[in-house]
Amino acid sequence: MRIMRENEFEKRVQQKMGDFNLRPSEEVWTAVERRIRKEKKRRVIAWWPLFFLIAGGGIAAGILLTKKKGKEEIITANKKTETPIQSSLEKTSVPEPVNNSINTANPDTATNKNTAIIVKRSSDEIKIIPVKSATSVKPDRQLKEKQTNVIQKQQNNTEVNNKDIVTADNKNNKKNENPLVTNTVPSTKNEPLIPARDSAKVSNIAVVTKQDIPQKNQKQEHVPQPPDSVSKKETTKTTNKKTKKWDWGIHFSAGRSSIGQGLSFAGQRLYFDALALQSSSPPGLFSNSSSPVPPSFSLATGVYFKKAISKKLDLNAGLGYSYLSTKINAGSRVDSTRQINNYYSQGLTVNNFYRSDGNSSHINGYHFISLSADLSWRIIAGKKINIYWENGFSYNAMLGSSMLHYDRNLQGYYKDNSLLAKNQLAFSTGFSIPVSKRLGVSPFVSYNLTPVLKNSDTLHFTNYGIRIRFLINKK
Amino acid sequence: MVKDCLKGKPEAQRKLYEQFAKTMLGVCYRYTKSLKDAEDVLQDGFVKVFLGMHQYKFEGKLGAWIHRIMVNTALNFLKKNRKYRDEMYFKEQPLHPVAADNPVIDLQAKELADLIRQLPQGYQTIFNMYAVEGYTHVEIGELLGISDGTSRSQYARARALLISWIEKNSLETKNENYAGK
Repeated sequence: MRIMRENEFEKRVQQKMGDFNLRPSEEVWTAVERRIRKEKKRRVIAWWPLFFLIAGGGIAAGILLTKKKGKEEIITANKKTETPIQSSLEKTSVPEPVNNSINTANPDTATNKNTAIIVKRSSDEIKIIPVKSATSVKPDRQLKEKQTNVIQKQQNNTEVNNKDIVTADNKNNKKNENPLVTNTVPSTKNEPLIPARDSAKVSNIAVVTKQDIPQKNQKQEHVPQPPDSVSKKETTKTTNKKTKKWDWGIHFSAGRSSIGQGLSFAGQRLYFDALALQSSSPPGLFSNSSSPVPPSFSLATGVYFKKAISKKLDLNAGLGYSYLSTKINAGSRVDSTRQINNYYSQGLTVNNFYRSDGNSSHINGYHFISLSADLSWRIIAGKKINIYWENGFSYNAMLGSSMLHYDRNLQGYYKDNSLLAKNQLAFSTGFSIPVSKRLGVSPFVSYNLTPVLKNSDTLHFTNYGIRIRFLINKK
Repeated sequence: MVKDCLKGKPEAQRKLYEQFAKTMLGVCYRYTKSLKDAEDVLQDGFVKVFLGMHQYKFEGKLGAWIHRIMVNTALNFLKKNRKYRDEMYFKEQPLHPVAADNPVIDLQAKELADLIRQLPQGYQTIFNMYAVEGYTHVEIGELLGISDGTSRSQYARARALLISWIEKNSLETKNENYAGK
């Protein structure tokens, strides 16, 4: 009865207060609106660095991957412009090119012994121009002079009409004093000669091989072939050039990750009670009321790019995915709505939570996309073994997490990813031991300089394990 | 309206604010000592409402969800603000019997709210949470970090004090009316 009467008073109070309202000043809405816009802008801005890094990484990767091909094309183009015959051809005053049919060798097949470049011109002449390999950029002066002489002789001897010029790859054989073979063949049209360097601009370009050339028009004399030793030397030169470029490959690492105050390894079993409500002040981070947080599995994979800066120093840059995790002893999941109201999560409604009876383990997983850069310094350079010391930084953007937070009022765990610092900067160090030219194994340790939680600067990730790097374009 | 708010449409946000602002300011007013502080709480609360709108699962009334956020924001404000925090200490006191008085509240809502606001900060908070919001003493104890016994005791004292003020106020009003006649 007393309770009933007591409740009557409360009911009256509730009724009175239910009707109670006050009109706020206009400044309140203005401030609310301004803060919402500001917060949204801040959230958008927070994603820009990630966007730029990913975009930058992608562009860099694209450039690096296409650079090699581009360089080879440039070398071929240079080779064409410096083909001995070209200078002499340019000297001959010829009309404007009309309907020229020029066949030039594909850069990729330029080193093929059977490759020939056919330049059809308004004469009956076919010229076989030696196409040097990718490394032989500057023509031999003697060779040039000889070739020029040949052209001049041809011009002097005959009124040349309908000439076809065929260039053949003879691998820049220096011993071969006269690689140029000139044949005069009948032609039906008067076509002007096109300088070789302009040949690439002509649309009707086709790759032909020596076999493709009709025998009628190809009364060629013997085209000397380079000795094998010369080819090998050229191949070595090409390889040396490539080592100065970016190499690329894939990496994979596996290990263990943990959360702790400072550098934390397997031995440290922390009690994670970060979100327990004590009083008005922030609660202590660790207590025995919640589960310990031992380390758990971690992995990372992605692509990386490597460039030799000096004999002892390499630069590595990578883009990939990484996963860190820790383990807690949570309990059964309860699908029930709860209001979380502690120092960190205020007014948060959760639709499910986990009991803290410790009956089942829960993996707090953290997914990142990471952009890394490190310097690799060769500290031991032996005949049998080389050891590199690697130091670098990585930017990690959190894609998602299954982390649970403990709440003392709830007596359990709940999920609130808004508490996590989404952008993480990490420092890593380790030793790399090359197993082969392509494969390297490196034990590493990385420490996240950015705290795990936004509102607490004490907890940091530590990750350690073995990383394997495999170069794909290394020859 | 909620969906439009989720899309970030300013008109919808303004509309939602207009719909609930008056009532919610009444809630904030009961927990604070000044109108300015109440408006600060209201502002913080609505920022949380709009930024956390995705957490509203359309289960239950929107007004109740906003109301809970306002109460939590108000409690947080009291904890963070030194002016309130210093006054809001809770002594472990012996259980105080709840008085059987059930006076008729012959006051306007604003007058009653002003009387509640004149209670000591600890009493005011617990009275609001128990009598108006309907929290249990166990819940109040958990939210404020005190035992449920302390909450009961504090509430009983707050209630007794408030009733005495209400009765006094009623008596004065009657006397004034009588003198007026």
